[in-house]
Amino acid sequence: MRSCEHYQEDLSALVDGELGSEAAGDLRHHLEVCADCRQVHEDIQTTRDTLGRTFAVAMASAPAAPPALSTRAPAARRGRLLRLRWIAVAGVAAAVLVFALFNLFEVEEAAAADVLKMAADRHLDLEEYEFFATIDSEFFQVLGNIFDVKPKTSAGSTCLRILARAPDWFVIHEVENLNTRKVKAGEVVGFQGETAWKYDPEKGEVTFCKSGDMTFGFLGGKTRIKKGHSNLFKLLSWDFYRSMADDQEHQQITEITGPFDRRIRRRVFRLQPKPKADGKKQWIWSKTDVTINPAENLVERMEFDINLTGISIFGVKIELAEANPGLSDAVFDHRTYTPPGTPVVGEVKGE
Amino acid sequence: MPTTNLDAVNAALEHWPAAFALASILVRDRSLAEDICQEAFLKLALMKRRITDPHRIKPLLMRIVHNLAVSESRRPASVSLEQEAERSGLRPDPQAPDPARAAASREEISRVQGILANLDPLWRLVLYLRDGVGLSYAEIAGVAGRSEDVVRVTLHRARLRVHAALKAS
Repeated sequence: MRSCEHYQEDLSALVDGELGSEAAGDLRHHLEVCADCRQVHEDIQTTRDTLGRTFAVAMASAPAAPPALSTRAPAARRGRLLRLRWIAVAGVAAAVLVFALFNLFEVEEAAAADVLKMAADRHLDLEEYEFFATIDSEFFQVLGNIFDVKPKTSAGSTCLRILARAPDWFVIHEVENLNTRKVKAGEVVGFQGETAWKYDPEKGEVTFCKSGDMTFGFLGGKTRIKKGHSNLFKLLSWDFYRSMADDQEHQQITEITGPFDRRIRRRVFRLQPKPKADGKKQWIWSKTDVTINPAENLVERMEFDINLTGISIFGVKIELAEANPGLSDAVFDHRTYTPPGTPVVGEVKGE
Repeated sequence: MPTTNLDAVNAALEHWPAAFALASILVRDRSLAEDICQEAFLKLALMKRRITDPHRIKPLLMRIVHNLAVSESRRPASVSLEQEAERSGLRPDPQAPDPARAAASREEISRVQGILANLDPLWRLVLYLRDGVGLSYAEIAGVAGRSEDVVRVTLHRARLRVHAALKAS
C-alpha cells in the first residue's frame, strides 16, 4: 500500500488533470479517507488559483502587441522586388565596407594616457556608482581538477555587486556564482566612513565594527578592507592606473582597440610590464585592460589579471553597470538585507 | 524575407501577453522583455519549417522566449535595487487594463511576486507555464528541456513551497 507521502506527490498532477485514470481513481479514493492528504490537495488548488491570478496580472500589464506582420507582396511584383532586393543588399554591403574602413583607419587624436586620465578622473565627479566585480582564479580550478578536490574556488567565478555613493558609502554583496548560476544568500558588507557592518546569514546577525577591522569572504577566502571607502572610490580613478603606469622603466600603456570596440565606439588600453631588455621570458606577469567610453569620458570596464606561465592565477573584472543617480538610503541600510528582527551586535558610531 | 509562417505568427499575436509575461518573469525588465518578445515573434516568422498545427505554436513560442531570455540573463544585470521591482514585469502596470486585478488583492499579488522572485528560475518557469499559460506537462518539458517526470515533481514542489511561504507570511 502506498504511503501518504507517495500519494501527495501526485496531487499536483491530479489537480492539473495529468494523472492517468487508474492512478487518479486510486488517489481520489485515498482522499476520501485521508484528511491530511485532503488538506494538501486543497492547499495545492488554492495555491494554483492564487498563482493563476498573479500571472494574469503580469499578462495584463503587457504592452500592446505589435500590429500584424505585413503580408507577402503580390506575385506579379515579386520578380521586380527580387531584383531590387539584390540591389539593396549590394548597396548595404558597400555602405558597411566604407563604414568599416573609415572606422578602422580613423585617427584617434587624443593620446592614450590623456584619454585614460580624463575618463578615470570622471569617476571622482560622479556621486553614485553601481558596478559588478567578477573575481576568478583559473589556477585554483586547475589545481582542484589535478588533485580532485573541490575547494570553493574551483566552482568558478564569483560576481560581487557593489553599490557605492561618494564620498564614504558602499555596500558589497555576493550576487551569484557565475558557473552554477545560483544566487547565494551570502555575506553583505556595508561601509560608511570609519564604520562598517556585516550581515552573516549563517549566524543570522549583523555585526558592526571599525571599517579597518572588517573582513568579508569570497572565493573561499577572507579579505580585509583596511581603508575601505577611500580604496574603492580610487579604484577607477586615474591614480590607480598612474600608480601602475608611471613607473616608465617597467610599465607601458598601449592601445589595443579592435574593430569591434570601434564599432561600439570604445577605446581599449592595456597597461602591462615592458618586455625585459635582455629578452628573457617572464614567467609571471600582470596586465590591466581598460575600456573607455570616450563619449561619456568614463572607464566602463577594467580587467586585471595575474598570469603564471599562461594560466590566470587571479583575475578581477570590474564593470560599471550604472553611474546611478537615485540610490536611496535604504540601499545602504543593513536592514534592507536582513530579515526583520535580526540582532545587531557591537555597534560602533561613525566618527 | 521567406516568411513561411506569417499567417500562423499573426494568429499567434494573441499569445503576446503570455509571451511578454514569461520574458519579464525570467529577465525581470519590462523593456528587455518587450525586445525579447519581438525577437521571438520574428524568429517564429522566419522559421524555415512550416508550422501547420496551430496548437504547436504556443509551446514553440514559449520555448523561443525562454531560450532568448536565458541567453539575455547571462549578461550582467544593471538594475538598481529600487528600480528592480518597478521595472519587473511582475509588478502591475497602473496604466494597463487589468480585469484580473479586481479579483486579486494587491497585497496578495505583491506577496506572491516576492515569493516567486526568490524561487529557482526553473521552478518559476514551470509554475508560470502551467498556472499562467496553461501548457501541458509534455509541452512544459519541451520548453524547459527537461523530462515530464522532472516537470511533474518540480511543479509539485514549487507549489508546496509557494503555499508554505504564503502561509508563513
